[in-house]
This record gives sequence, structure tokens and C-alpha cells, in this order.
Amino acid sequence: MDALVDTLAMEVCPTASAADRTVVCRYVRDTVEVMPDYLRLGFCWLAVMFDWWSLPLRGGRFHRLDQAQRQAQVGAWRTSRLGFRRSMIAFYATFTAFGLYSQVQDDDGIETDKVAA
Amino acid sequence: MSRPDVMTTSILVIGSGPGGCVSGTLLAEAGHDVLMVEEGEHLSLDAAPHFSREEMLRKYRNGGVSVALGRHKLAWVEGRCVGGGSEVNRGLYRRTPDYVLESWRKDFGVDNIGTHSMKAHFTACEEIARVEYVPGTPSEMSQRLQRGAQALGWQSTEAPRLFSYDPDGNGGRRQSMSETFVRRFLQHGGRLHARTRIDRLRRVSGAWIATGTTKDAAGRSQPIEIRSERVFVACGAVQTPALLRRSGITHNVGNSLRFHPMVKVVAEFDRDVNAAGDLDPVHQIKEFEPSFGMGCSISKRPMLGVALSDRHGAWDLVQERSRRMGIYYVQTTGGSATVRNLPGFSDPLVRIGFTADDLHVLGTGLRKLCEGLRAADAVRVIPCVAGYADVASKRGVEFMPSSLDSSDGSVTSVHVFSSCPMGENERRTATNSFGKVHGADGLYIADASLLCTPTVVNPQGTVMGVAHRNVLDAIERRFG
Repeated sequence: MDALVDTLAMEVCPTASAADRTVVCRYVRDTVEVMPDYLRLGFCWLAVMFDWWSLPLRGGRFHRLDQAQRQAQVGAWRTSRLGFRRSMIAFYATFTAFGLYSQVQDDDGIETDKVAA
Repeated sequence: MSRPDVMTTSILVIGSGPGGCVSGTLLAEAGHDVLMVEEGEHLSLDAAPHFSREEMLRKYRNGGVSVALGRHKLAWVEGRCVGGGSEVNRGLYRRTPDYVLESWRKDFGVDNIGTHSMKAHFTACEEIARVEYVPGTPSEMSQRLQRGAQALGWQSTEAPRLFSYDPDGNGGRRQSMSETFVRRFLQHGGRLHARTRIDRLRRVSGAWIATGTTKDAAGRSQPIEIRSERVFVACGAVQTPALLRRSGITHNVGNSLRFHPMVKVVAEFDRDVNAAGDLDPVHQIKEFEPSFGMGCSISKRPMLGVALSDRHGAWDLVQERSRRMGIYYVQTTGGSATVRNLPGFSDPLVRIGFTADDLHVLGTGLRKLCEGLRAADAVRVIPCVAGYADVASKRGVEFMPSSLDSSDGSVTSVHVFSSCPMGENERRTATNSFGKVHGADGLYIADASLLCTPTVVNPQGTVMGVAHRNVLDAIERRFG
């Protein structure tokens, strides 16, 4: 799961530091730990399935793939015809985004003053 | 397993949200021995920044992850801490519209309910909870919505909040149950046990026995058993029916859960509308109520990031233009859900269904919201719905689908109610007109579960007012 969150965090902000991504991974893990128990069970199975899905296709489990291969797998699940795959990526993407933007806001202390022309 | 801690009380209140707090406080003020238990922690309003990750993990049920499943999905959030939802919401306040109360009277047989009879209850709660209007000018983001409504000739309003504003309108302090009613409850001798979850109720020799677990500060669980003459269940519209059903009480319990389904958009303007430190926006558009209403959402960068998370380049967009952006919503009353317990799991399953008409109303509301924001001079409106194009012209609104597909998780809610409706029509209701559970001596419901239908407006005022009305009736009748 950490590998998936890390990949999604890199997608949201390629310049996010490893330290920030680690904080976000911890936040998402904490969230999964307290989500409704029947959903948590389903998400644990999905995480295992997601990790092993790449083995026959890319020769390794998801957490051992390089960044480009990881992004390709995330993209495939995001656009899958199977709703549970899309839902899984949407869930992690939402909480990763919330965690990452919160992290940057916390680092900055206040909202940015920069406004694009 | 260790032997349970055994406690006794005259009245047990389960849950400390607005309904539980109002009930517990009035009972304690009337001189009763009241124990209020709460599954979550007792935290100060400032224990975590508002709308932060920490707040979600510490004060929200399930870390903010609650999903109603079915062919369509809906994600909602609930508080789980002393004070319940009032600790985590914005405290926007509206009294129950007359037509809603009238439909409860007519369709559910609720006795003695109407604007006139509820007025004293609303007023009493508003004084304690500190319901105030912004004394100065609301934020620019809020005014934009109002200007859009005015340009189109739509009726709009400024909602008061549970908030203690500074006289100059530039600041103040958010209010909640922990800031108001809980303090009053404790001052009048009420006992409060946080980190205590009740799993079941049973009736033994004329008393109620509540069993569950209590946790210490280190998180160690201990079984607990509480014996009481009377019980007020106020765990919220999902947990209340779950507890009652686990306890074998099922008549019209958990069959009619309702929400205010909501879809959001991000509006981008050509100048700043969303500065750090702005007071929360308060304007709402009433023109299309009761079909749908519109309003402003919290628009901090994390919320904007989530709202735009499926857009390419969202990070740079948010970093560069967050001050020119605001999140707005349209909310309806459609959809109906059930609450059921699953063997082997502690969290209840919520299953929801929307009719074609429900989705059409959501689709229509979304188009109207975009129209209103364009009239407010938004340079573009970005619907937070997968597959929807940005709206940057009048023609863009015309091309929007007339019906919403809610299967992608874009529908959310912050209001839940109606799972155990009250009234004298026993074919439709779980309790009598004042929250006393049909066929169960000394057992009352005192939360949003009782509201017969969606309130159309922010429901916290209704929850408090109805709890106030019902508990005074119970005291007056000596619980007979």
C-alpha cells in the first residue's frame, strides 16, 4: 500500500520530498486502519491483488517495480472497466491528495501569495 | 475476558452529539442522575486544526471514511467525539422550514409540531449554543454566490452559525456542544464517560442493561455494564439503528435513512476571493428549495486539491490560483438507504439507492449552480464529477448532462437522518411523536434518526430543537 500511495503522491506532485511522501503514507495507512471493518477487509484483499497483479505482466510485484511501471499499472486500474479497481485507485488518490496538500500547507504555514498572471 | 465494570444510573444517554447533549443537559438541569457515554474522545475544540488530517483521524468516525454502497455510491462523514458532529462541522444554522414540519405532521402523524410550537425550543437552544450572524461583511467567496443569485433574480440568504463573532466581524470563536451544552451538563452534575461504546441493550427486571466496552487513555479495553431505568439513544442516524437492531429492536428501525446528497464544483474567478484567514462563507441560495439548495464549502488548499484531484496539472493550478478559487455545492434530498449489521463486523453496512428522478434533480441542480456562478463572474466552473467538462461559457451549461451518474463516488453528504422516524403512524415510525420507542418502556431516541424526512436546510438546529421539545415532554409526563 505504501508503494501505491508513494506512486500517487509522485503523480500529484513530482517534486514532493521523500519525507513528505512518508508522512502522507503514514496518514493513509492510519486512515485505512480506522475505516469500517468490512471495507478494510476488502481493501486489504485488493491491496494484495494489486501488488501481485503485475507479476505475470511485468515480472515483479508492484512494490518492486520502477516508477514508470508503477504509474502504468495505476493508470490501467484507474481506467479499468471493473468498478472495484477504479474505486480503489479513487480512494487512495483522494486521501493521498488530501494528505499531500495538507503537508505542504502545514510546511508553508499560510496560504501562498503567488497568483498566476 | 475480565469481568465488566458495573455502573448504575437513573438515566443513560448514549452519544454526545447535539441531540444527546441537549437531552442530557435538560435532564441534568431537571435534577436527574444522568450518565452520558460517548464512543469517541473528549477533546477540546482546538485539539486539532479544523478540517485537518489530525481532526479527521481523531474526531471523525472511521477517519472520515463512510460509504453507502449499492449501484450508486455516496460518501458521508460523521463526528465521533464528545460533541459529535458539532465539533467538526461549520455550525451553519437554520430553523426547520414550516413545510417540512407540516409534512411530518401530515405524513407521519407527528403531534403538536409546527413553527409556532417549535419556536420556544429553537430560541432556547440558540441562546445556549450561541447562534450568530456575521456582524460585518461576509467573505468575498460568500458574497460571490449572493451576487450570482441576485443577478439571476434568485432568492438567497445569509445563514447564521454556531459562532461567537468579535464585534468588528473580523474574527471570533467557533462554538460547538463541547463549548456550550457539555459544560452546562457537567455544571449541573451530569457525568460524562468518553471512550465508551455500547454494543447492546437488554431489558431485565424493569431496567435497561447496556453492555459494551470502555477504553483507558492508553487504548486498553475493559467490558462495561450500565444499569439504568431509562435510556436515551443518541448515537447518530447510522449508529442508533445499528445499536437498536443489535438489541433486537427492529420495527421501522434502519429502513429509511436519508441524506442531503451533494455535488461540488470549483469556481475560478479573475480576482482573489479566498484569502487565508477569511471567515467561513455563509451565503446560500434558497430559490429552488425544497428540490435543491446551494451554498459555499470550505476551500482551503487541501480541499481544493481533493476537488481537483482527477484534473491534469491540479497541483500547479492549486498552488498558483487557490486564492482565486472557491468550492460551492448543490444539495438535494434524494436517495434512501438501509442500515444493517453484518455478522462478525462491528461497523454497520449502509446500502443506498437513487431513483432516476433523484439523479435528474442532482443533474439539474448542478447545471443551475454552474449558471449561478457564471452569473457571479466566475471565469470557469469545474464540476467535481468524473467526465464533466469545465464550464466557461453559457453554452457550456447547456451541454451538461441533465442527469447525474452517481456511480463514480462524486456524490457526498455531511447530513444524515430519518433512520428511525417519529410519529403516531406506527406503520411508518419507530417511535411516538416525542421519541419514545414503540413498545419499549423507558427507551427513547434523541438524535437525527427521529427526523421524518430530510430537513432541506442544515439539520443541526432541527436536531437540537426536536431533542429540546421531546425531553421536556418526557420530563413533564414523568417518562410515562
